[in-house]
Amino acid sequence: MRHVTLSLIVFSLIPISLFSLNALSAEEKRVELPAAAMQSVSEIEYTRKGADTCIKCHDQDSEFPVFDIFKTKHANIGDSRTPFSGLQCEACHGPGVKGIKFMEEALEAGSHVGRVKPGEKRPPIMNFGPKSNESVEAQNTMCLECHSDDKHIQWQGSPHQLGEVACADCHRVHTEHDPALTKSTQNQVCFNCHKKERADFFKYSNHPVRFGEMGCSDCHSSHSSNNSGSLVHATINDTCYSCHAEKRGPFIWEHAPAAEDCSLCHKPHGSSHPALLTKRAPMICRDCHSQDGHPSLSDTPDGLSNSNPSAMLLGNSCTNCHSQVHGSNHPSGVKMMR
Amino acid sequence: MSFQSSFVFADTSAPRFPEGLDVSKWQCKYCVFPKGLEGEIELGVGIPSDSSYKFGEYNGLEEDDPYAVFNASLSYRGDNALFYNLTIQDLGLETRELTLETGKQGKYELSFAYDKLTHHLSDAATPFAFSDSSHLVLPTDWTAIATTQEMDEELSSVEIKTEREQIKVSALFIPARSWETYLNVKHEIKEGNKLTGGAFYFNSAQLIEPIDYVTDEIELAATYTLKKWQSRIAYYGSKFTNNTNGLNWQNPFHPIVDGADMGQLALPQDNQAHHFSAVTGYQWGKTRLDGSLSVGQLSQDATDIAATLNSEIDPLTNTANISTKANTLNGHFRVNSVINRKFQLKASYRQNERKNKTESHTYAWVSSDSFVNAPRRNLPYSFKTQLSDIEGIYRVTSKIKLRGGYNHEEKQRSNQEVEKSVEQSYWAKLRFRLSNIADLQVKTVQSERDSENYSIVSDITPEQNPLLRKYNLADRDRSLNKVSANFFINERITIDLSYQDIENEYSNSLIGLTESDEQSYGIDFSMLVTDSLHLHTYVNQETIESDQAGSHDFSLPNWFLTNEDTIDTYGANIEYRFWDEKVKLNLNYYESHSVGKTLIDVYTGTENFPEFSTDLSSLTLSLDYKLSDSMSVKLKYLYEELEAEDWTRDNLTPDTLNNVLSAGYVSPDYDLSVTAISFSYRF
Repeated sequence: MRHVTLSLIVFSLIPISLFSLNALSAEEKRVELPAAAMQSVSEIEYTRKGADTCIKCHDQDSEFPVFDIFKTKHANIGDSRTPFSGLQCEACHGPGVKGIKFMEEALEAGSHVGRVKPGEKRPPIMNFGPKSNESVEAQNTMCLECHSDDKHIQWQGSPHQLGEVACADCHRVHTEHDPALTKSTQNQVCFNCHKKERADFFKYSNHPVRFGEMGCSDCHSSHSSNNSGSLVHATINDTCYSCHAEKRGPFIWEHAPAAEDCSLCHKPHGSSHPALLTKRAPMICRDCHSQDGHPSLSDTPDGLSNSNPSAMLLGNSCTNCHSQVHGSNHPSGVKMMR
Repeated sequence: MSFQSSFVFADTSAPRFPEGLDVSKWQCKYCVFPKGLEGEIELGVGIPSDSSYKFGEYNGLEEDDPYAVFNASLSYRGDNALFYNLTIQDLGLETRELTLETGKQGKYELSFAYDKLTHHLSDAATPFAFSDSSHLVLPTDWTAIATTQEMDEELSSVEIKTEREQIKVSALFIPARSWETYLNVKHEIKEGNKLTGGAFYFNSAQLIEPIDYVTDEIELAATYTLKKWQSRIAYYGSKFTNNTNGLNWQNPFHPIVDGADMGQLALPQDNQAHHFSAVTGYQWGKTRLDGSLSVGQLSQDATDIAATLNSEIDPLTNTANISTKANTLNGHFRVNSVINRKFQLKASYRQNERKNKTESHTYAWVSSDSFVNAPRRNLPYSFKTQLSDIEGIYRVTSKIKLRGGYNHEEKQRSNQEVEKSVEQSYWAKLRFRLSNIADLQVKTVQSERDSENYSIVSDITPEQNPLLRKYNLADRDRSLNKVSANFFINERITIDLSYQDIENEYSNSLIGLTESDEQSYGIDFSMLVTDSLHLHTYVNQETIESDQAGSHDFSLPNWFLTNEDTIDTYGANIEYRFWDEKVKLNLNYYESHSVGKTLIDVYTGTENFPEFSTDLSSLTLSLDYKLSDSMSVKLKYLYEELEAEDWTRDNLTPDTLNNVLSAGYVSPDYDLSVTAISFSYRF
């Protein structure tokens, strides 16, 4: 009943919302940010007073408060690499006054820091995030001016870059604690787009991501690695071994799928079956084991009767006896029973 | 000698300005740079209404005792970029974390972190007790049983749980502009237990396996960063130590042969991993080149476990002191080029290789400490994967983008049914972005995997049915289709729709996994009702189906089984700020329901197994009332209920199965709440 109620709420809101759809202007966004913006003052013009010009308007009571940036690494003036030891606000937002060649809109409407008539919208400055008036590439180019370090070596050509994800889609710069960099809040940032994974982590068996005890970045490199699935280690197994080193081996008697790829049997984001398994034993085992005798039996619900309960079905099924499914180091462990 | 003077640091005193720019009036007099000590401390108390191991699986709330709420975030800013940060989270719970950072930004940074993670798995009942860390013994008056129904001893309850404590120490040094060096060290202790199984031929007992692991990791890295060229070299080492290498247990059943009254399980052996890696990237005009190479080795110490504890069996030779080793090589190269404003091309090659160097020998072995078996050869598995792909991106218009690609993956395996398989995939993706109104994406992937000469591995006995095809080795046709649509109704309302279907068909598999299909769809609705009220709701439904076939008489397929799991997830989140922003209310609600159906079609007819099910509902209400700029009161109320049904384990008492002395199991069924109130002071 609860499901029905919630679904009704959701579906009833959709048509209401669609009804209010209004077409916003389809303005073109620039694909590139001219290098001149960063390197030359002959064609561009900065404000006379730097950050003081900006802060006069952008105080804590304004629509776009900025003061929390002073609690972040970007505003540490002892570090010459930071914006506030250099061009201050304009290091990222570009020069603030008129004559800014790469801001066509500003050229047409006037300066962002200039006077505007009552009721008129202030011409935009370079801004970031989903509502930015700049293209994703232009936004990211600005960030990469400083952050083209080793953590972003593989950004170009990565899934997020090719998918046109802006840095500011995930990161918040004007916040004391960026949710994307905090383990307990990071998953909410990722779930904004990775909604199937959000549902996975609500399943009965999961890694403790929704409890904030694990972050997505414990396994994945969001700025991309060269590895499959943008994993932080070279392979799926190497990534799993970073927390489950006891399963690394190499075992004397290996279980081939366990040595090859943990995800052949486990769903790392969550499963409705215990131990993140793709399905229960004995079904999961019989996808690969059909030796004559008990491995290939057709166990039926008869094996659940009170008079004849079957160890092939109940308890841990196959692993009641073959418990060493990740491999065995016992000299007699060939059947994973020792 | 001072700490700082022992290193040569980067010159951070000379920020760069565009030539000719007059910054004499850039005084930043309105800037509010923090100085001295600042922070927030939260103190309070929380009270759970009830206890459940599943509710406390990861969150440290497995008991119904009151607990202290203690969180803190302190920072100190000094001159010359000096900083100290201290973060404490959940100090009153077992899941506590602490992080201390210090350094001079731009020169060096040091950090120390402590993190504890608990994992409660279940409650269990067992007649066994540890006489020492590696011996499970039965009560002294235990009488060997033929079936579990003969058991008349009282069982002890045991909590199945692990605790993982980590200490991380990290250091970053910047010796010169463009250079950074890192040192990361992690020391982890994992203690507790888990359930395992120990069998004597056809009789088995669930055992409590001790967990007493220590894992040490070290990473050393140096990076060099220029505008167009970045590089990183690193070493990663991991050393795993198990303080208990074997678990002995008494056979609770009548031994089926003389001497089979004590068994020993091998526990994870000490092992190590070492990797050296180099990563580099170069920007050449509009073309980006990047590559990486990593070589490594996995090794495991020799085991000193005997082939059997049965003194009636002649000791076997060549079965002890076997050490194992595997070499790894992982490489990748990618070129990504923006040809022009319309066209972008990406091509890459990746190779992952694990070459198992463990010696393969033929060993005599003892089946469950009872019978000497025909000798068997250990099969060290090696794997090599080579993936080549090419992708083109074409911007048809500013609103339409077309992507397409081809992947060629070749896998080689040793000692398995298939030595080489090749999977080819073609894919296409269309993205239509209607400015700020809608973003529509359609993607399709069609893959075909061909495996050469599937043949049975003769070493493995008894022999597999020749009609079986293991699903990771079998020929496979895969089809993936995905559609998503994001509607930005206006600046306040967004709707996201998504649908995904992955179909796998194993057309040449008469036995084994023959077909699978995973479908999911999702709807998200988000609305900024007012500037202070935000609503977000979502629905996700997933269906996972798979078909398998088997042969109970080692011939043609004569039984067929279908699994179907359905998982429904619903959620809603409301954020509301009122009373001049003095009160912040957050309501978070979600449900997750799963049903697992199993149907078998066999010569006696078609039969349904009972259903697996889980029903989870969780509501969290947080209220933050701001008393002043520096003080606030926080109230948190969590209500959660979970009911699970699992026919494989529910009502399974130690004597349910004649031949398996199980540890018992009760599926979680709880409804409880946690109320916490705390006071927060910010300074």
